[in-house]
Amino acid sequence: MIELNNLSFAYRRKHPVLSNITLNLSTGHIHGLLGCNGIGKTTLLKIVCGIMRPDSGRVCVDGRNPMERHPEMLSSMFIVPEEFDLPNVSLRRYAAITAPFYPNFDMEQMLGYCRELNVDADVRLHSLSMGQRKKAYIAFALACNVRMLLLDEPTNGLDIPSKGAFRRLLAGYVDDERMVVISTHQVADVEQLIDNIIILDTEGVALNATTAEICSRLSFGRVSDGAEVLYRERSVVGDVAVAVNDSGEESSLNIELLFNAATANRKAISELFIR
Amino acid sequence: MATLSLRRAVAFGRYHYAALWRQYLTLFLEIMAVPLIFSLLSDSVVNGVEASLVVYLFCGLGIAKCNTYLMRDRGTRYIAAALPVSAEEQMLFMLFNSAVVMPLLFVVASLSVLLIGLVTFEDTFGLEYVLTLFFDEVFLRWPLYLFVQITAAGALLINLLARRSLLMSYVVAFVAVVLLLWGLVEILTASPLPFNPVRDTEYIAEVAMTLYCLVPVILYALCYVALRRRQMKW
Repeated sequence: MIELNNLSFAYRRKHPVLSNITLNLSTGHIHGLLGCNGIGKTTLLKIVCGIMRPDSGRVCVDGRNPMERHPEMLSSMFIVPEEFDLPNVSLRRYAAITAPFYPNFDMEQMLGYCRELNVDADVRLHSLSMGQRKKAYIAFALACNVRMLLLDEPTNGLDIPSKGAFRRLLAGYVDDERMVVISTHQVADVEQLIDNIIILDTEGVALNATTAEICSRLSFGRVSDGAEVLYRERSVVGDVAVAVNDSGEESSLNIELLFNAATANRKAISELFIR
Repeated sequence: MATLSLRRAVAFGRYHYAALWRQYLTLFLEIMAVPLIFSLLSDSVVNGVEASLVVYLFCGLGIAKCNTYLMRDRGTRYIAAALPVSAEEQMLFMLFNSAVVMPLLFVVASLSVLLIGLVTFEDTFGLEYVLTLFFDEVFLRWPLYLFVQITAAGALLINLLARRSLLMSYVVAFVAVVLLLWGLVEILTASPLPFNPVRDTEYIAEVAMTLYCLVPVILYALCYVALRRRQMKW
């Protein structure tokens, strides 16, 4: 559904942000987009929804180039930016104004999401805190029932109970026809949600694999000193490592450890997942 | 789904006004306040009406800023840019906004000044005289609208492309438009064409009115294209 082919982008010449990104993002998944600061995760989301133009390469969303800004394509996707400003009206009013753009929007559903996220839909948006405003916008985004939902650091600014509610809502959102792409540094907040992990680095896509594939090919956990591993780091519980899963027994996925392994030992990790 | 739908252009307009009603209100009050102060100081509503012309000249920038606010503002631009509205629909709305809403805003504000002035001050002139003055000197001054709108839209384009301050851009655009209009009049007067801009004012007014509607929108469209090329960095 979202196809990126050899995509490259630079804000300044000789300082590429994204280089040679080739990805296929399909429906039925919650894709986790991970990468260090400044690697281009937000830029990639903006390119996908047609806000920004790649320097080279091809972007295809439902067979269309998002830069053409075809309304039908745009109404099937929604982006929640990390930082944003909304008109100073209540969420209910905002929804009434913006809903005509999204044919599957459901007001009752949005009010239900607001109750779950503990945000008042009748209070002016400018009188809400940034976290509450984000919850309000997430509630609106979910109620638009779009097929492609792009979330940029969605849990930043959310309080602890809201993070739980957010996870519940998002888990119920995805079906075979829909996809969610979450760009985040807060992996712990979405660890149990993500079922496809994409790690970006300066060279491009370091890893693009489902959690099932990762767990079947890699093992995560504590290791003794002499063990052969792909990546090892010191933690508060002793040495932890990522190793090739030879035994076939699945260990629980540690995304933070996987990320560090994929950036430190890119070649070995990527070779295991060549599709 | 076509790329030009009136329904979506209207929906975009609703979004625009809901987001920017405060800016429009501020502009409206500015257009009202200065002529009122003039009226108050000179104790004459006629001076207020004349001052409203000068005010409109300087409010052009406010008009252009309102028109492009959703594209320029850091907090709103990405959300506005992600709305399922085609570029054509956005430009259609801008055409309506700059050709209908903005002059209406000015006319309503000027009329309000007039009515407040007439109630407040004991003017030597009657209502009929002041209304005539208003319609002759303000409402029918299409070249003024032309000048203001083109200058403001040109200033925004200069601001975007040359990366100079908005005030500096406005000064440059102001001078450029004055020179352009003066040059056009000179060329047309000297040309062998069957009309003379000094003599055929009615014909010129019609051309000016059309230009007033179209040229600012073309300049806004250029701003839009430049903004997309600049990766949304105004």
